[in-house]
Amino acid sequence: MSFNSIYKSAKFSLTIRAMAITLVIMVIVLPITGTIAKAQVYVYRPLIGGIKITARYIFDFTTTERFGTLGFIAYRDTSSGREYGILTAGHLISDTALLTEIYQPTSDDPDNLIAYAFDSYKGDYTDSAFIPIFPDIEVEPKVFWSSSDSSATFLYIVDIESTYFQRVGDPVTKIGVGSGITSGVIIGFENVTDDGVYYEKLIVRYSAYSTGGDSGSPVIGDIYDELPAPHAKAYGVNWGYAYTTAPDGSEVFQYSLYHPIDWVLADNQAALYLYPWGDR
Amino acid sequence: MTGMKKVITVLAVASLTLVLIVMAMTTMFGNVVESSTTIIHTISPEIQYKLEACLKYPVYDEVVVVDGVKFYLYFPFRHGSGREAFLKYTPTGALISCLQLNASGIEPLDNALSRVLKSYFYYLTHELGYDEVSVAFIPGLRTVYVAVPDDSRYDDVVRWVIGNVTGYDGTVSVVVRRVPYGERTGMNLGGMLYRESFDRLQDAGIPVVRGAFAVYNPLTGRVEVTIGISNPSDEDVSKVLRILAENPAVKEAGELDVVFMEVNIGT
Repeated sequence: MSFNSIYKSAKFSLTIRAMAITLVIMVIVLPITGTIAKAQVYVYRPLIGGIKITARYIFDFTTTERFGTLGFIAYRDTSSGREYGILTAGHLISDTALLTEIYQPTSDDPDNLIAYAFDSYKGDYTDSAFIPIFPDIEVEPKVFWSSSDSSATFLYIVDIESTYFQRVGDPVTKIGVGSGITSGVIIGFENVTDDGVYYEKLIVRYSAYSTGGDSGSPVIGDIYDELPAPHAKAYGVNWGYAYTTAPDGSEVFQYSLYHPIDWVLADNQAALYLYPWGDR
Repeated sequence: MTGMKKVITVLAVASLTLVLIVMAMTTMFGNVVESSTTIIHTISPEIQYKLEACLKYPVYDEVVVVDGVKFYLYFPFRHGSGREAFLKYTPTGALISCLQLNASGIEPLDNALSRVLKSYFYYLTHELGYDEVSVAFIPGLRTVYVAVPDDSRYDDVVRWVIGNVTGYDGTVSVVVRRVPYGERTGMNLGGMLYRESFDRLQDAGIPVVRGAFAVYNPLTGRVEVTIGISNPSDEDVSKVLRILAENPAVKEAGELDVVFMEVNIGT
């Protein structure tokens, strides 16, 4: 039984039993709030991390759109050559429709279509996906950036920080379309087992604020944002956030969660496109 | 007589030198506040004050022993439903409070310091021979939080840490605490909880939260399990503790933090 199927069966049984707790997959739908930088919702070519993407699919004669955040640029080397793609949250891809169209930033212009995604693109034990993009679309090993202290508008991704070296207290920053750029620290590592296999540090708790639309966001650390070569390390791909409910029904944010980057890459059999070792 | 004077002079100089060395060492290493399980080692009174505030939390509501396992129980919703209750009355919340205690937030220095501190883990396991350690870094407070399974090498830990980070303008603090197990065992325990107890709890009608289920917390040195009921009945609590106490890894660890709080996961 895969990690995803455990999750789905858990969700199903919870629903059946009408338990007090609900695992909610709130894909989208929250309005954009917070300090999101307008530039994150612009058209970006070449593609970079930290910008808006929209997943669109048709099922049962109904069109559904979900928006999220492009995490990082990644690639796979195949027998037919190098294949570039995007890393983002798996749940942006439809479980039911045959095909999901991926746009950047929105689906209102057909030229914004950057990829087709299928259910099989999702990771087995992380809620992530590597989605190959059309070959004619350029990419860069960067993520969006905006700071009052620096005129840098992007950060090169120069390395990954593997889970072995990620520690409680490490400062991390999430660049999401739902809540913009928010910073916090790692506060814990969650591990799970699946079918007898032990996954250590599969989900990382961190204190930066996140909300709907931030799914798939790049989580970075070791930031150096001085020109001419602002850069950072990839720490993970944002998964979701934990919240409790106030008596008036409002959400009380508690902490965010991301999948460590090395787990995401292993799960998707992909490598991160890094600067300056990238050859494109 | 002249020879005697020389001896006295040499002894006086040696004594003075010794005093000066001790004073220098005191200045270098600062004050050490020691309790049975914790050493706070700091050279900044302001930071020491903040750290002691950190160590006041989390506040548990009850301690219950079931089949020899000591459970620290947290009912944050008894103290309100807002973020304040979460921050003070759950281990994860307390860690967030501690990590973010410095209102000025994360300093640019923290990134660099954090990188240096990653080597502690290697040092503590490979050179000091600890099998089980946890190293947490508290940005803003410039504080390293080290949890080790026994107190035999406290001085070595503190000296090594201070000796390696004094380059950062001398305001680094070290908190060393003895905990029942380190990160590795803590993580294993988290895994065992998920594998052995997750389904049993659900089958017993107890909601648990994947993605927020079990996490090792260096502040308490224990694994924290979140049970998704904000106001459990006595019967619920007893059911939960019975199932958890039957977990072989929990039995071996001997203690566990259990938080009763409905948590939703949004993505």
